[in-house]
Amino acid sequence: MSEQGVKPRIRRRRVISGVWLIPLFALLVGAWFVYWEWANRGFEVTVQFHNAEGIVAKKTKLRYRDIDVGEVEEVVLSDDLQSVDVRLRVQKTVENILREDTQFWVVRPRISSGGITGLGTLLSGAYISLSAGDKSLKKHFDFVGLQEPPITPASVPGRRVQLISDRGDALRVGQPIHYNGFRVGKIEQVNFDAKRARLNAQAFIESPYHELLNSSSRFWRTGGLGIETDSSGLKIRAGSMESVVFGGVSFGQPDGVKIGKQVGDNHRFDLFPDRQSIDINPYQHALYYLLLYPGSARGLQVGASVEFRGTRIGNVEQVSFDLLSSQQFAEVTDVAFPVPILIRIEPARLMGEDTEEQLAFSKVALADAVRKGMRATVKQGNLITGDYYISMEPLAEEGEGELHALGDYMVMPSSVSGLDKLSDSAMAAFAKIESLPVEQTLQQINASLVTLQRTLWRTDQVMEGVTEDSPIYQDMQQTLTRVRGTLQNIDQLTRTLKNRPSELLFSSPPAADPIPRKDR
Amino acid sequence: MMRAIAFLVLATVLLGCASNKAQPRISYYQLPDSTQQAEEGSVGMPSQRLSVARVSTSDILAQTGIVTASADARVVVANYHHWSELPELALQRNLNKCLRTRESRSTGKVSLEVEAFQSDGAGGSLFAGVWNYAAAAQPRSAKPYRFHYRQALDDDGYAALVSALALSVQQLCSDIEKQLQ
Repeated sequence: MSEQGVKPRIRRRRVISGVWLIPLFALLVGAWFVYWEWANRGFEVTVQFHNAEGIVAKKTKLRYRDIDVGEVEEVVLSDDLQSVDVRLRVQKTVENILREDTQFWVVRPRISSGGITGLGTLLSGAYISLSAGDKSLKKHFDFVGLQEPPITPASVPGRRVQLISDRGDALRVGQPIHYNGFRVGKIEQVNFDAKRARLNAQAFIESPYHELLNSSSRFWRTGGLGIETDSSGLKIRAGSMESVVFGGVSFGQPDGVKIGKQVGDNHRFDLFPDRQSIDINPYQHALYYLLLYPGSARGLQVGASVEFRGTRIGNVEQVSFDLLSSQQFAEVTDVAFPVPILIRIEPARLMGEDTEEQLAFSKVALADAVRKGMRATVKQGNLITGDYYISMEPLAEEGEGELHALGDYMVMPSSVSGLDKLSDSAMAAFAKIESLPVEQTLQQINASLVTLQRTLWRTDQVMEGVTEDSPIYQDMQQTLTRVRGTLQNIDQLTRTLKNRPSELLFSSPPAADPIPRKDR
Repeated sequence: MMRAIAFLVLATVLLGCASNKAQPRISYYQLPDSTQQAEEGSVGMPSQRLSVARVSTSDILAQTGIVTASADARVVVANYHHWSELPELALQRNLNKCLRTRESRSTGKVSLEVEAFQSDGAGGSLFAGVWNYAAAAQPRSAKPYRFHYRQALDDDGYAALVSALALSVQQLCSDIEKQLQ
C-alpha cells in the first residue's frame, strides 16, 4: 500500500459563521417587537369638539368605564376654524363599541342641578370619555363630541321621547322624571324652538319603566307647592322632596282614558303645566271647528262644555272675532253678523280610544252627522248662574248641512237655540204690541167696559127678577104646577075615552063620591 | 041619501042631550088658614128669613079632586068635591104664611115632598111626606125630615076632612119652626 494511491478528501469550509445566527435572531425578535407594536398600537379616531379646553396631545387619555383605552395624539384646528379636531389613538379592544351612535365628551369638573361631577379631574386633568354604541349599527371613526356629558349613556336600555311645551317652562337638563312618585328617568336635552316659540325637550325613561309609556300617557310639570282653598278647607299639593326642590316632570295615565299603544323612541308628547290641566283636558287628539253662530253668545265662556245630547265631548276654546281675518269677517258678515266660536271636540270622550285612527274616523262621522242635520247650538245650562254651553243635536227642521273650510278652520253649521227663537218671537210680539194704537184701543176698551157694565147691571136686575123669591119665579112655578094638574086631568080623560070611547057622545054621570066618615 | 044620514045623526045628538039627567053640584074647598086672625090688623114686616121654596106632590095629588083612601088601599079622586086650587099651591102659600108669622131664627129654604094629603079611610085625615131644609149659608146641602100626621075627623063629610088636613098643616108649620130653632 502506497501513500500515492490515497487521495485526500477536501472539505470546503462554511463561509458564514454560525455566530451570525445570534444577530439574526435578535433581528427577528426586533422585527417581531416592531410588528407587535404596530399591530397593537390601535386605530385612529377623530372627534370634533367645540374647543380643546383641558385637552393636551400625548397626555389626555381616552377612558371607557374609567379604564384607559386610548390617548390623544394630536389636537388641530378644523379646516373652517370653527372647531378643533382631536385625533385619538384607540386600543383595538374597544373597536367593537365604536359605532355611529357612540358619544364622546370631555370630563372636567362641573356643577349642575344634578350635582357636582368630575371632581377627580382637578388633580388628574381632564380626559375624554365615550359611551358604547349600538352594535347593530355600522362601525364609525369620525365623531362630533358632546358639549356636555350625556345624562344617560346611549347604551343604557330605556326609551327616549320628545316633550313639547308652548309655555316655554324653565325645564333643565338632568331634572328627574317621576311616575307615581318614583324616579324613572331624566331630562336629557332642552332646546327652545324660536320659530315655533316652544320648548322641545328630550326625556329618557329607563328600562323597565319605559313599558309604562303609551300613546295615552301625559307628561306634566311638577315642582314647588300647590295651595288651594275652597269650602272644604286648605289643600296643599306637593310631589317628592326632589321634585319640590329641583322641579321635574311626571307622567301618568289620565283618569277615564284607555291605555293606548306602546310608543317607540322619539314619540312626541305635550308637556302640560300641571296635573289639573290634564284633568280638565285629558285628551291629546281633538278636532277643532269654527262656529259662526247667528245668535247671541252672551254668557258663553271659554272652557264651557260642548255636549252631544247631554254628554260632554269637548269644550269651547275661543269666542272672539279675532278668529277671522278682516277679509273673512267681511265675507261672513255679508249676510249676517255671526259670532265666531272655536270649539274643540275630543272623540275619545265618546269612543274611548285617543288615537289618530279614531280621530280620522270621528272626523268622517261628524261630517256625515252634519250632512244629516246635526247643528251646534248655544244653550243655557244653568238658569241661576247663567252658564251657557254648546249643544250638538240633530235638528230635523234644519235639513242637510255641510262642513266647509274658512281659513285654517272647518266651519260647522250652527243654529239659534229654541230659547233665542223664543226670545226673538217675544221681541217681535213686543214690537207688534208697541206698534198697536194702545191709546185708541184703551179708549175703546173703556167705552166698551162702560157699556158692558151697564149691560151687566141690567142683566143683574133681570136675574134678580127670576130668583126663587121673585114674583116671576113664583108665577112660573105656579103655572107649571097648574099645567101639571091640567095634564093630569087630560090623562084621566084619555084613560076614560080609552076604556069607553062612547063617553064622548054618550057620557054617563060620574059616580058619587065616597063620603069621609069620622071614626065611630 | 046624504041628507037622510045627516038628519039621523042630528036627531040622535039632540036625543042624547035631551036625555041627560041633572048633574050633582060640585063643591070647592079652600085650605083654611089658621094664621089669618093673627095677621089681621098687623102692619109689621113679615119675616123673610125662612120660607117654603117648593112643594111637590105625588101624581094622584096633582089635581083638584080631593083624594080619599079606603081601608083596602084604594084611593078615589072625588068628582064633586074639589080643592079650590091645586093642593101644592095651597100648601106652599099656607105654610109660607104660617112660617112668616113665627119668629124663627133660622134662615133658609124649606121644600116639601107630599106623599099623602087625603083621608085615610079609617075616620081620619093623613098628611105625610118629607120636608128638607137648606140653610142659606149652605144652599146645596139639604137635611131631610120625615113627617106623618093623622088627624081624626070631627064629623062626616069633606068639610071635616079639609079642616082636619088644615090642622095637620099647622102642626107641620109648628114642627118645622121647632126643629129649626
